[in-house]
Amino acid sequence: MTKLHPITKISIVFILSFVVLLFSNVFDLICLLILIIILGLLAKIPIFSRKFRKIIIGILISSLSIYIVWCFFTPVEGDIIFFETWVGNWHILISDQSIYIASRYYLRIINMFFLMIFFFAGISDRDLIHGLRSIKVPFTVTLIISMTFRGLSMFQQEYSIVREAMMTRGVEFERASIPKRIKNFISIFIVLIVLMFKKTEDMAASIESRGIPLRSKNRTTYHYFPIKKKDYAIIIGLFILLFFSIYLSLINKSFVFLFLELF
Amino acid sequence: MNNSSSGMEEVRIGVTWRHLVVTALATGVSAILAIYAVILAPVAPFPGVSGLYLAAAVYVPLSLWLGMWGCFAGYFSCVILGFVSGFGPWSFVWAMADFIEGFVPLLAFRIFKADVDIGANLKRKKEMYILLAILVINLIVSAIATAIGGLEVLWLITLIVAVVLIIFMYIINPSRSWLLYVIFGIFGAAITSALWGIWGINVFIGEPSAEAYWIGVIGWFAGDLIVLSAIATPMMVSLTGKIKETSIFVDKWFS
Repeated sequence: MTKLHPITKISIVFILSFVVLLFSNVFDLICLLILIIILGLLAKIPIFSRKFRKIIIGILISSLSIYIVWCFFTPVEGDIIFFETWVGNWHILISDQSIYIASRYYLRIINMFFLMIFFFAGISDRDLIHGLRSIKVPFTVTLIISMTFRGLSMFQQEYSIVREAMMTRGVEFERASIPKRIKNFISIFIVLIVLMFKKTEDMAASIESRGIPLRSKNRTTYHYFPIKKKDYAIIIGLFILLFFSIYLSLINKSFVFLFLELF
Repeated sequence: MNNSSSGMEEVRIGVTWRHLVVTALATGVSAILAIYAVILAPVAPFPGVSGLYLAAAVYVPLSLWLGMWGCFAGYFSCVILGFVSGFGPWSFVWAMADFIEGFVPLLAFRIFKADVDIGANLKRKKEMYILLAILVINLIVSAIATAIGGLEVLWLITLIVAVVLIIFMYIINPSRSWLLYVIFGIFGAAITSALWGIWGINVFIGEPSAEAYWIGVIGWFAGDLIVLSAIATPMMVSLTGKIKETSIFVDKWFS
């Protein structure tokens, strides 16, 4: 999995994210989630490590709150009604259908979240650049995308550095009142914005000094990644899955139930 | 190229690497802030919506400083947030909410040909900030009254109070830039992005009830109002003058 061509890895994320949107059956989404986790493990992403566990639990809990509120705020009639009451104009109706819809939505978020873990942890900056260059994306666009992702990690570090620097000077972040927190954030924002402009000047000067024109067409690359047969096979397989998912959503059928009917 | 009266030629520099690099880096900063905001203060049942959307504080100043590049930074950072929040490819549509957030004030300033330096010649700063805080609270009450329904009188009162406050601000500080910023940079940006953003989520997740829809709109609108008035305004006042002196500043649309 780690030896796959970058474009194959990017295709896995993007095509599966379309499939997530097309699947409307809870069981289909569970199967897809299992597939994504297996792919993540094959790509040697430490999904169940302490670092990732903390983030995953955080997302599961925050999404669960969305799930619960969805059930309470969206009255959907169903075959089985578990709870029904009126609070003023507010109609609370929890039925099997509202739980089913909330579950479907919850699973979509979790699927997408694991795909994003796959994307950010499984695809490096270099992978992204080589992947985009191999499908003839213009060099300027590739460079901007690469800088954006580098900017993400760079400013995350800068944010932590500025925050820690302020904390060492006695600025309270954790136990401060809301107006005080906003004031602290303004201080961090201003530093980040100034840093951003400074880094922009440096990076732009660096690019210009290398003589890279804005509209460069035929730039040569040092690294060459050929697309192998297994890459083609995976990409074709992904497209078959995508078209089959479109077909299933058009005829309103479930992938899992169709599979069970066949066997 | 224009020939000035002194015989010197004023050369207009087009799009340079600086604009593209700043777009990329601004996207990075905004995305980090957006992700932190959504994780720290989510508005259930809508994913990707925050009650304290810190990134909004960057979008409006960036669009006024960097023109369309600032709007693009807002858009792409929201696309990243959308992917992290579980929207997948739908993020490309939903992210228009944050593009609009920067574009509305930019459009207003360009149409009225106003100076983006709202802090230049700002009179009685303290009084202006107090009036702005009252206006924001008033607008949040107005939004709640609109959403709940049956509170038309309260809604009308808040509307009158808002108009009076804006007129009062103009009397204290007769600056067209400040007025445009308050109307389009704070209120206009917050309401348009809230309506588009929640519509986008609505289409993505099916048809939630009207109550849920308005909770989302109020959450988004109130969060943006607070952040735009409390964080973006001081940033605009303190930094615009300095940024105008740099080569990155965009005084038209793209350069």
